[in-house]
Amino acid sequence: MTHRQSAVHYWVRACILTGFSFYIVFLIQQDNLNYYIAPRMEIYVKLAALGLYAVAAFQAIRGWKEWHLSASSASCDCEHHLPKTSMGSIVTYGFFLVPLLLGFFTPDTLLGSTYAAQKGMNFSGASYYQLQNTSAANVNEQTADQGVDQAMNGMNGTPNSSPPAGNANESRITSAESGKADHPARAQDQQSHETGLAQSTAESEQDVLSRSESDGQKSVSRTTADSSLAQMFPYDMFTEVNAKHAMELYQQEVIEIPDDIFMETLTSLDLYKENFIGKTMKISGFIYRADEMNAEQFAVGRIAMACCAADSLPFGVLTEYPGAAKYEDDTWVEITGEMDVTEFNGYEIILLKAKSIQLIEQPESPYVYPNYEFGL
Amino acid sequence: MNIFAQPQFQNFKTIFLGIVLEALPFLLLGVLVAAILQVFVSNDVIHRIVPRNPFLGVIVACLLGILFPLCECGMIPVVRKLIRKGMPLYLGMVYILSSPIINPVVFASTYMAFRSRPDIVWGRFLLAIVAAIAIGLIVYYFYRKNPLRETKLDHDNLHHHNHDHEHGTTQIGKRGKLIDMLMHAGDEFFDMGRFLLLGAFITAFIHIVIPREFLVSIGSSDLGAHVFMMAFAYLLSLCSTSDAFVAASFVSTFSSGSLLAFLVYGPMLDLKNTLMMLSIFKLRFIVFMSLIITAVVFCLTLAYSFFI
Repeated sequence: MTHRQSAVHYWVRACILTGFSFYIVFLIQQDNLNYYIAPRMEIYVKLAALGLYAVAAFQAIRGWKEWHLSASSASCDCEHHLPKTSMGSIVTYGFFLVPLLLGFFTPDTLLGSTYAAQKGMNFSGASYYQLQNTSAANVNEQTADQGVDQAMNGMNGTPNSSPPAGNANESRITSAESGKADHPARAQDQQSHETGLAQSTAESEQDVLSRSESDGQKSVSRTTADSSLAQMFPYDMFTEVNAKHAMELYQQEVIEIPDDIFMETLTSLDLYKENFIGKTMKISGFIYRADEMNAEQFAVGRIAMACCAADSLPFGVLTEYPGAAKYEDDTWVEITGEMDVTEFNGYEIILLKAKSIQLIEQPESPYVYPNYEFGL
Repeated sequence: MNIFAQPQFQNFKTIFLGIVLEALPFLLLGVLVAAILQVFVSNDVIHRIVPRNPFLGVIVACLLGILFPLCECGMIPVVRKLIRKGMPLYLGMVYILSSPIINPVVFASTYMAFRSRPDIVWGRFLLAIVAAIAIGLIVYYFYRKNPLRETKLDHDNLHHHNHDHEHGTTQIGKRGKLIDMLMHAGDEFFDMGRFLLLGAFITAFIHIVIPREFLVSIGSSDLGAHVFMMAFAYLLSLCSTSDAFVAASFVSTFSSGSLLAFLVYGPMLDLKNTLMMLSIFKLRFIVFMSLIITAVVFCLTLAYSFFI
């Protein structure tokens, strides 16, 4: 290969690398990078744009130097893996052009109902907790008196049965909760955690008292409510986070599914779905359907993405509404309705009986992401 | 009307570019690390630090991922460089197999996805260590041929090459070495990149054409579930940082053992990294490795579901 031919290779490479770099910048400018990549990965992609640009610059310089080498100067014995034939070059560089052409010249689109239907429905966050849930109940039966302890401690206490890791988890959750309450209550919370295992029932009752005072409710009724609540939401050390979350949700008048803990909230609800029958839920998402659904049903949910589009999965709630048919797939809606439980494909799942359906704009951040801080 | 407006095509594009964009930074990182190794680390250094004892060696290689976590895309250029520089093959393989799983980032994401199932989190790491060590030793005792593809680059480990022809001088200072490094990074990028892109292309296609429910229906028996989950992991070619998230959606339908098969097998062997390995190894070695990895992971995870 002559120097000039090599030089052309290097310039082609420089162009391709620059193309990738510009494509990333282009996506950032269009504000569409989040169609492909989860926000927590975006920084790496941005850095890659810089890196690609630097490598491109060096390839260009190298090409320039190669071009100006005299034909007589000895060719380097280290061939740089340049394709030998022109056919080879076309194939090799063609590979790199495909994503660039697709990226620049075809529209960016969201993954939506077609994708959801094909990936299979993941109703109610994660039905996988079902198995775990039954074993959780068993554990609780076996340690009935501990269960009572937990009930007495309510949401603030430290269950005796929890291992150290569980404690750490819980203390954070509690302080997060009490962030909403007054500071004295928080201080007491912290204190009660410091006393740890030695904590007496009396103390924990006081804990509950101070909390319910800060909530402006009657302390006595609250204490009994808390203990019956805890019995409604049995948990083991693994489902503890969800149980506490579910208890919080249970006390809300309208249970909203927030974007930042979308899957986590659906999971908590699903885990204790029987408790939520008759409760009001408000959820927003896009509409998708599966073959198994009847004319009055559709699913409303979001696409959840861990790192990139390849690992994204739909999560949602099965919805029933007499006029369901007039809502097309991929329509963004906010639905308020009554929660129920139904069987779908052999699994018990949450059913949302829609009372009102409002059309909404597609949210700025259409996907949802696993929340790595949930329960920590 | 036209193909570009078809939702299937649009989904394909989104997934394909998602994989490419996700892989680019890590491929670039791997390429840079490989270039640094090429320019700044001599073969002697590699020879000196590699443990002589194969058992010690596999354990060290296995835990290397904790210190130098790299995912599959970044791993292959680095290991190629290390092997060319004289790192024994079996140690390179152990590093390739273990590092995508045994590293803190992957541990965290697995823990998050399976926070209610610590048995899966720990099972994944222990099985990965055992499998990587077993495979490394099998390679050590049974594979004695040269696995590397004969390429023009093979002279790399024969002489240190400095780009005299470009700089027109023999004394290459720090600056020259840096330039040298970036030049190499460009070569490596194109060398690995084409396999990565091909892998991403096929993978995205598979994501679009295979409905998941159809696949799930195959794996009803326990043995079938193992086979299915491994095939699934191979075809999906997910990054090890996000595969736990996908696996978590299967917990209701699949046994722990088959989930572990998915979580251990996928990062060790999948479509995307098979294609990338073609840039280093001869086909017969890749076939050999694929069979060994499949057999070892299959037996281990099956044993897991049998005994635990």
